[in-house]
Amino acid sequence: MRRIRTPKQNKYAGEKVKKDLKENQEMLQQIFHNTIDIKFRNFQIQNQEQTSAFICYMEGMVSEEFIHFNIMDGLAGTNLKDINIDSPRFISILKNQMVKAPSMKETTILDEILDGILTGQTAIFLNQSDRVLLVTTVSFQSRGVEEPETEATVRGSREGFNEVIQTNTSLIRRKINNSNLIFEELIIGKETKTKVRIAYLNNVANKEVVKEVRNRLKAIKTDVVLETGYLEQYIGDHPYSIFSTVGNSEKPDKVAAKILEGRIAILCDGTPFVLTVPHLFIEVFQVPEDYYSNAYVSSLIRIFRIMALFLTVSTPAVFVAAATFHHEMVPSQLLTTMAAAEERVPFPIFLEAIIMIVIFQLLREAGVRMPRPIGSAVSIVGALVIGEAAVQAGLVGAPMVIVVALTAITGFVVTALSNAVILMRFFLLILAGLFGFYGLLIGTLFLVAHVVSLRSFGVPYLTPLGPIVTKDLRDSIIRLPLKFLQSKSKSITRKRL
Amino acid sequence: MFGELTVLRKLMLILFIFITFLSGCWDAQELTEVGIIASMAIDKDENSGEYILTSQYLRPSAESTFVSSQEEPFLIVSIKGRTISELMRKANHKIDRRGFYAHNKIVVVSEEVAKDGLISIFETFQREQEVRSYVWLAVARETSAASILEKKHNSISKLPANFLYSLFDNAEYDAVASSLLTFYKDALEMGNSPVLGVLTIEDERSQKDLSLSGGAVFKKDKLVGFISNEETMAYNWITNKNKNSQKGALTFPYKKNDYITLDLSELESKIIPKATNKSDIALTIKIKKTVEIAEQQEVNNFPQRKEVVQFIEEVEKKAEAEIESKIIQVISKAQNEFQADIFGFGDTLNKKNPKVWKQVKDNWEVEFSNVSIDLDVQVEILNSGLIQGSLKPKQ
Repeated sequence: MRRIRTPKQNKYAGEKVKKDLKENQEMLQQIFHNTIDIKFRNFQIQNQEQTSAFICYMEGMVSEEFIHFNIMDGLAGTNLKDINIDSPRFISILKNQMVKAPSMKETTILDEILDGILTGQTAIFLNQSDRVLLVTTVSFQSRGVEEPETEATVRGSREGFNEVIQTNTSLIRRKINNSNLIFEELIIGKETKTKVRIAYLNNVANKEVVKEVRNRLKAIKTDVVLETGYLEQYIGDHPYSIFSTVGNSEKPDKVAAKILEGRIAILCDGTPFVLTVPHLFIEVFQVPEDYYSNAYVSSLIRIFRIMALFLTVSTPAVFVAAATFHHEMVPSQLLTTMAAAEERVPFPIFLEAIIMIVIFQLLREAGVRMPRPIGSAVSIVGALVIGEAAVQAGLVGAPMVIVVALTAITGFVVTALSNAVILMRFFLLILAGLFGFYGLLIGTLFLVAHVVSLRSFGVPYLTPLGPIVTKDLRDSIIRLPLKFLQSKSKSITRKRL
Repeated sequence: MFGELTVLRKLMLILFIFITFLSGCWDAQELTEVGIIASMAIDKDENSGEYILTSQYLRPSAESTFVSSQEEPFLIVSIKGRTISELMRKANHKIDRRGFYAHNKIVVVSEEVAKDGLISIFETFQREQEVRSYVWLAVARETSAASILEKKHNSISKLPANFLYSLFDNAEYDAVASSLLTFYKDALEMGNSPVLGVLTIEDERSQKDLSLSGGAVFKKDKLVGFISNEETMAYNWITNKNKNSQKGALTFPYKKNDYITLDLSELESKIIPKATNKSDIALTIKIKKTVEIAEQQEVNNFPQRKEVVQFIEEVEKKAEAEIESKIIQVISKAQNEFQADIFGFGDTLNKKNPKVWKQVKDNWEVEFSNVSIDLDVQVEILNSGLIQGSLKPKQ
């Protein structure tokens, strides 16, 4: 997906349509370079002058059935023998009686017409008139509302966003039936002209943050926006950090919950991933199910998730440090077992760890990208060859396989942070391999210092843990019962920008 | 985060890379390069007077789950030399792994070595810190220290070091479980002397069984003699400083051939010195024991509650007398035979009565023998199990 740069933008800015019908049609054909998916239909209106007219639309972007019944039927079929094209009644009859559509717009500006046609509107051109009627006839094929694959749940809504921004808007609206829920629309991307919407609760969200989001979105100067990931990288506070300070989700219930907490959602046409800002570190441990099930279980599992993060980041590093630098720190029995397993392995433990983790990353990548029908091949190769056979052959020690397996499994627990986790894991592993626990300590300090310095739209990334927001600790490492969560949380909404 | 690469930043980046990759790994040691030493024994060659260091190395490959090995999971190497650190280095020439002593669990010394004094030969342990201070320390009695490290029949663990370690861990009050650290504390302190555990090999059913029991009495760091199991019990009750002093059972005759066993559940002991000048030093040893009746061989039955109380009081009295006699025995042995203050009386006196201590400290070994001791032993039976007496067949 290459970003294309074109020097000239908006060639037709300010231009207006001509009066002559033929001239208009030729101009459109020329502008669209005779692309085959633009359709013209010429006809005559049954009025005094037998005005000739044409409609223009993009094939596949519109409902042809709708055009047939609601536009063509009225335009070509209505008898208006006594009405002159220049009379003001003509336009009003045209708009009110002949064309039956929920949304239409009258314009003379060429740019608007082009945008309209490109987004699935039908333009009606009349001879000797420089006014063009744009009728919303948009209809295209889209995926249904399906269960999101990235965020499966046992309990809770199974709806997921799809690629159509209107559907996604409605999915959020259905969760929050409240007049305070506001959607705003922006068009971003000079080439793609992608619709981007921001959603927030007017009475909860911090106005300053809303303004900031709006400004940052407006400041994006790019040609291409194909996914919210583009926006994320443009509007994030720390584009060079390994941590993302913008959250994303495919689940309307999750996004609705975040909006209700005072966050701002950013929807983008063409992707089911919706961004939420401000995004805090603690959110990676919060899962919708936490709130749908018992508080004790939720709290316990949340603690496990936090443990999982530390394990997945540091297990290989700790193992390598202990096995190459600090033999005295390992219990004697364990050390004997480890030494027994390493006895036949030809590589240093550090190299072994690097090899195994790289192989795991490759397997994971293969598992994600491969076509589904050959899926089983990867798991067989992964499980048997890399695990069992490598140990049998004496290329890898069994404890290392367990360490990597533990790393992998715990890595899947905190998926929201998986990108940062991979980098942190290598970072700490290399430091541990070079300097042992000393390196591990320095690396951890560096990471902690970095995380503490982050901000997301004015909110410190580690809120409510650092700085401590006492009130919001109720839903951080543990989740208190809902009774204690009723009042609004402060971390997100309090003013500080 | 990165911004523009200014000259300074470039320099820092280069420095960072140099520091990381040129300095790293210098002390890294792969597991396949180290020889883990699990226990050590120090003997003395009678002819040359050199020390013999016997080390038990682990052989991890024998523990491998993939290849079942017929090899023993350990390897014993003996080296002769003049200093211990010399021996520890020499061992690296004789075995294909570099010795790693941090996991060493036990240091056994022979009687001859112990008689010469231990502080001088353990000097390197303190200086180089290779052997940790929490290793168990014991004296091999009537056998060479090296023979202790060999595998014994009464060992469930495949590794002799683990077997020895468990012996110390499970030790009750008829044995002494003393670590290098407690040895140093007792030996270096004023008015105190250490007692170490004793490992003996007993011939039983033509097998050689190893046991940890009794105590080796030191005068400062030199071995002066041994105390029996019974005396070790009394020693442990007085000092009450190890975990194992709190564990064990006391068996004594209750009526002629019927024995009674009391299981110790709590032990409190206190030494109270009383002195005005160097001639009238008196010590009161207060011992309070809480016990449970574990077994009683005499078949009796008490229909009345009153009889039970009487019985318990009677047992308590007998137990007190038994304990007192044992304590007197060990104290007199320490005072007269060894003249070694293994109970730390001098230290207690120093803390309570430093003025008197100053007068006697230079000649404490002699003075210690003349100290008069009072005993105050209290035994409390907390629980007698079957309260109405033992089971008795009806006539």
